Amino acid sequence: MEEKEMEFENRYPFEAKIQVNEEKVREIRDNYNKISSFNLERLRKVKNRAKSIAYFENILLNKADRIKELKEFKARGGKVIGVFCIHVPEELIYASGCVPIRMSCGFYDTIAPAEEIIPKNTCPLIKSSVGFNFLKINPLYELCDVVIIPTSCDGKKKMADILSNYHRVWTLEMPNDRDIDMSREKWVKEIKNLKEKLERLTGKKIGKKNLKEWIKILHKRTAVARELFSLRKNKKVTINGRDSYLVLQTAFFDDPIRWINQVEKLVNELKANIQKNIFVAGESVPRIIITGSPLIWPNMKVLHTIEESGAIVVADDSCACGQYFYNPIELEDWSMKAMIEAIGDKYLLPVVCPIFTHSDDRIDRLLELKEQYKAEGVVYHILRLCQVFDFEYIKISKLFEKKSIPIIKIETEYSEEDAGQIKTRIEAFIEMLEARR
Amino acid sequence: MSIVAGVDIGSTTAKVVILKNGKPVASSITYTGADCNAAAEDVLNESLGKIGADKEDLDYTVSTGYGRRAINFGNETITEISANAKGAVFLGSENGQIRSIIDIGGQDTKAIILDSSGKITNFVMNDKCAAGTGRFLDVIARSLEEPMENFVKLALSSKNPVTINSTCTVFAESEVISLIAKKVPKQDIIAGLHKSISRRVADLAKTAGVMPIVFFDGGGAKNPALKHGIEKELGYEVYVPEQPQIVVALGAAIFAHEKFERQQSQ
Repeated sequence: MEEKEMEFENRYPFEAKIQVNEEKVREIRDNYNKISSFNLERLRKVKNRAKSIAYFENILLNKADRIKELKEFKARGGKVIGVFCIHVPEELIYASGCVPIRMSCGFYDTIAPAEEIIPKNTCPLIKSSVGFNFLKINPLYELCDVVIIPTSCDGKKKMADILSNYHRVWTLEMPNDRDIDMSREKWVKEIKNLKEKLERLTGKKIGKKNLKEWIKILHKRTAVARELFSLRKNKKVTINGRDSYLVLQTAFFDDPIRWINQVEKLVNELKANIQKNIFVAGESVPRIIITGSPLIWPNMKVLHTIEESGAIVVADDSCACGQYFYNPIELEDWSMKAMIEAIGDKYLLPVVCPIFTHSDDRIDRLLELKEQYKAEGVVYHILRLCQVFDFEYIKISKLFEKKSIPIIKIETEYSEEDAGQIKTRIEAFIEMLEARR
Repeated sequence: MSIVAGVDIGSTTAKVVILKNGKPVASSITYTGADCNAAAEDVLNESLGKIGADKEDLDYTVSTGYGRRAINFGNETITEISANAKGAVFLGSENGQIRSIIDIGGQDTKAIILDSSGKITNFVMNDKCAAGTGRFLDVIARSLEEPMENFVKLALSSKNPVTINSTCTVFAESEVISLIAKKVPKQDIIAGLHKSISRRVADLAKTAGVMPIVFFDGGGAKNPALKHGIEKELGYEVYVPEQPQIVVALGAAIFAHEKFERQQSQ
């Protein structure tokens, strides 16, 4: 009885009729690899890139080692948990002995097949993620014992229902207004529920010692990610926006301890490059912040366009990059109660996601980034039908106009058909920034 | 002495403006067709021919427009947005300082906002769909079997423009066909189309923060019914230059001239 309550209720499951034969799946999978390789080729055209980037390139292109590792982990009884969004407390998952894998996708080819089970008028991220996982293009999906979906935007909520036809799903009930006490109480309760669910899944209690250890490890992950980002505050930049994205996107699936070590290595190389006067962008290069709907691999269209048009992305507030590991957990008291509350706070209070009723914190964050990173303009990326970001654009653009901060809205999808128009807009925006100097 | 060229390769037409010592001396327009490189070569040679010069005499060439990279000559490219602003500021208006530009081209509609020094502060372009552009009117004119001149005359003669709701060229075309079937007078349909485009263009300009004086250019500015419609929607007059189609090519040519002068002084 209790066991049943844990699951996402779906009393009328349905079968999809999607006729995708083996050959088609192979074609889509090949295309995914082709696009990934093409992305890397474009990145490699940049001179003076850090050599340690190679590690991240390799694991993004070839996930076989990680899959093997996870298969062995599962053979020993370990559980793999698929997660969406940045609201799922990974500390708890690791402390329970499970491994989280982030499942979002930015791949065009998986959209059309998904449209049988997802409405056409849904944002490409949701459609692509469902298609990517449902069609088993993503080999990591098959390893997942459970998929956790926070009820963040409407797309994610309904995706939980759709995916529950084919997979074991848990939702994580998100508050809408995070500024009221009731939301915090409810959210902390939800975190406690998740702890219990994980304990029942593994049959083991999450110990205080384990949780403390993982809070500390992931605290370190936040610290190295922050250090990597802060390098772009320099007038001359040693790592561009695309490479920063690339590094963060590998954290979707990589082992966190190995990832931390590799990022530390990269940061050290970049620091040495600064000493040696090795840069990817000089002082005169226009500095841009990108914000809005998250860019998920292999969707690099807008980033490529900005940086291939002679500008550099110095910062972002994306849940798939700059904001992914931004918020640390700060604790004095290591009681279980204090840890659970601190985890709750970390994943609620400072998260600048547009699913919440208020957008002012996100605006503050953007203004802060603009100052710290000396950005000259903001590219506001909206995935078509991603309503929450579209809503917030209006308030932000009005404020920025008053503050004379140049901002451009780029509304697009995953397909390449509008690449020409986007290039014209972004080039004109960069010309505008240069003319303002 | 210097001779420079600005080449604007639009989706429908290719335009060239030649400057001699910074002053416009010749211009030409042709259809882009399938081979934009050939179109650009032709229109450039034609323009140069008008002043008895050839490509060898060119000191600097800047290309712009959607085909700016598809041609295999020229020293540099700039976007049509920057070029349009440069051209419009150079020409100015009889009524005072220009603060906004509305450009209706074959495939794009743009609104560009300028500050008091003529620098761009904001710009907005239509979506990838062709509704509200020159191409849209072409398609409808063809399905109504009216040449463009007549088309505009009919639009201006209507007293009861119908409401066209479709925002997509394909759907609008079928909406028009069903209106014809209902025996709605042609001029009312055509006037309705102009009204619908004018509203869409004015809305786009308003989101960008349009303010007078508005400089209206691109091929669409040659259509008095559109000018009238946009003025009605905005609530004030807009200024149309003598040759609205070549403003962007002119801007590119000015850019070429400035670039060349800077190179010479170094």
